[in-house]
Amino acid sequence: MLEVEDLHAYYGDSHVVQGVSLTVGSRECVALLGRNGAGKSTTLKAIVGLVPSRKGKVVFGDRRIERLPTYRVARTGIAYVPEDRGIFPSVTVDEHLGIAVKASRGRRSRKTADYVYGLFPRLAERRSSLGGQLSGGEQQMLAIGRALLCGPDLLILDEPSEGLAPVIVDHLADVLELIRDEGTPILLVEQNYQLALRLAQRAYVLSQGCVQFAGTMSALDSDEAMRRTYLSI
Amino acid sequence: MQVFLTQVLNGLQLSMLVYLLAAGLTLIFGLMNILNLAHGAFFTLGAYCGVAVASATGSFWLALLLGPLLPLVLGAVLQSMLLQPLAERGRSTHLDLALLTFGLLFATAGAVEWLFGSAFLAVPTPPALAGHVSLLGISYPVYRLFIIGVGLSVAAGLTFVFDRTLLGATLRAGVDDRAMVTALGVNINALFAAVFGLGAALAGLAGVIAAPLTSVYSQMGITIVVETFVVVVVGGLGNLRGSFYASLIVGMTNAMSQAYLPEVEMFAIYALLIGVMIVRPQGMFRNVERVA
Repeated sequence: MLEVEDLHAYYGDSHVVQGVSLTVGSRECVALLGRNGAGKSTTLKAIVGLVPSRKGKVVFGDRRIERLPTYRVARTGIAYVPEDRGIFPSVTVDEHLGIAVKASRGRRSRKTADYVYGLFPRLAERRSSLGGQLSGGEQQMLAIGRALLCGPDLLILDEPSEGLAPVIVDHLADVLELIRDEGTPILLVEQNYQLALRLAQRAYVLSQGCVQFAGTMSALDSDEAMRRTYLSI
Repeated sequence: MQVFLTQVLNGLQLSMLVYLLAAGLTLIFGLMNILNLAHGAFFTLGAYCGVAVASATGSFWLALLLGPLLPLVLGAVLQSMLLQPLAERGRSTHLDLALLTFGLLFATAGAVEWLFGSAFLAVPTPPALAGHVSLLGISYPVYRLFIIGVGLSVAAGLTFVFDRTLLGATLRAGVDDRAMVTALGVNINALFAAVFGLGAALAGLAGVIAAPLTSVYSQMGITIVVETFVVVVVGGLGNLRGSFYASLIVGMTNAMSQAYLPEVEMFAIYALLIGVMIVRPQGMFRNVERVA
């Protein structure tokens, strides 16, 4: 589905992603783990084209996408939820979902706002509220809901649990499990190891922009030295 | 009292003219982060297109319809063929673009002078809008009321689109977080060119409707772009609603100082600008809902 090969990207002058290779198969949830500053977020941004990649290959389906502008990457079917959630402060909940539905026109999935309100009943109560008036949890639900309405063939999530109360993280995990089991591939960056353990089948561990571990989640879980060195767990 | 009422209406008329320019300028700044000093050039071009169409066909209404077309096309082309490629090559600091668009403003003045000569041209007031009406005890030109009507209609239309439609939501989203809009699959460059073109068309429309009132001359866009910038800064950069209120304040300040304090008329709006910059540099009408 997604194949990244020897990807290099810079953040300003610093060489943040130094030759990352990874794959996400169809119906698979893959976690990208590592400490702060390991290059996880920049890897995701380079895949969706928000940060230019200087070298390397990104193949999605059978298309090369590493040189495409971000909106064309999105139209190949990659939905991206950034670390800051990317909620628009002066746009209502309804309108967020409307923009996504319109942007997905012509793609195969034809879900509507009601699908998202079914997954997150809390959002239905706040459908006329502006993005800036939502709590952190509501913003994250909206960000994920909006991404789902883009009709994604791949969902890329950057730390969905960051800054949220455990009960909300639990709710999000249920929804993400459901999405995964329905067959949408997920590439997940997460600091919350337990959440990654629950959702992901495979994992990559990054340190200083390089892949230090690639394998199944259970292999990582039993490799205590690896976890202690690169994840401090 | 009669002088006061006349000045209120004059102020309103001036406000609406400036608003037609400010609406486009504030959206262009809010979305694209471009200080477009060439905006005044579209006002000039609209006026001269109006003169050309009106003198060729004798119809003001045709001029009103066709005058904004050239600014519309040139605006979209300027954004997509010149400003956007510059931004993509990293040449898009405020200074770069201010110098470039400032140059275009003067180049336009030179070009129309070369084509039309430096004489002051006039467009006759259309017969349907000629004459005066009695209004609350004063006699007021119908044509000025027409300008007020056009301005209010455009303001109502833009506000509706911006606040209530999906296109408006996409524009607000673009002002909030440009990168995220592209990540949803929206071709933001096409949206930018459309907004730029629409803003230029509104400036051109202002030029056509100003033509029967003031004379048409090559520097007309340079004068009004200064007032427009005062409005955009007072209203808050990128704030459409704020620009409407700021247009009223600037228009009224101008009209009232003209009538009652003629010695300060020249700098009354600049005093206002400086006051706003000191007290509320983000503009008087920052969107309250965004603070949340």
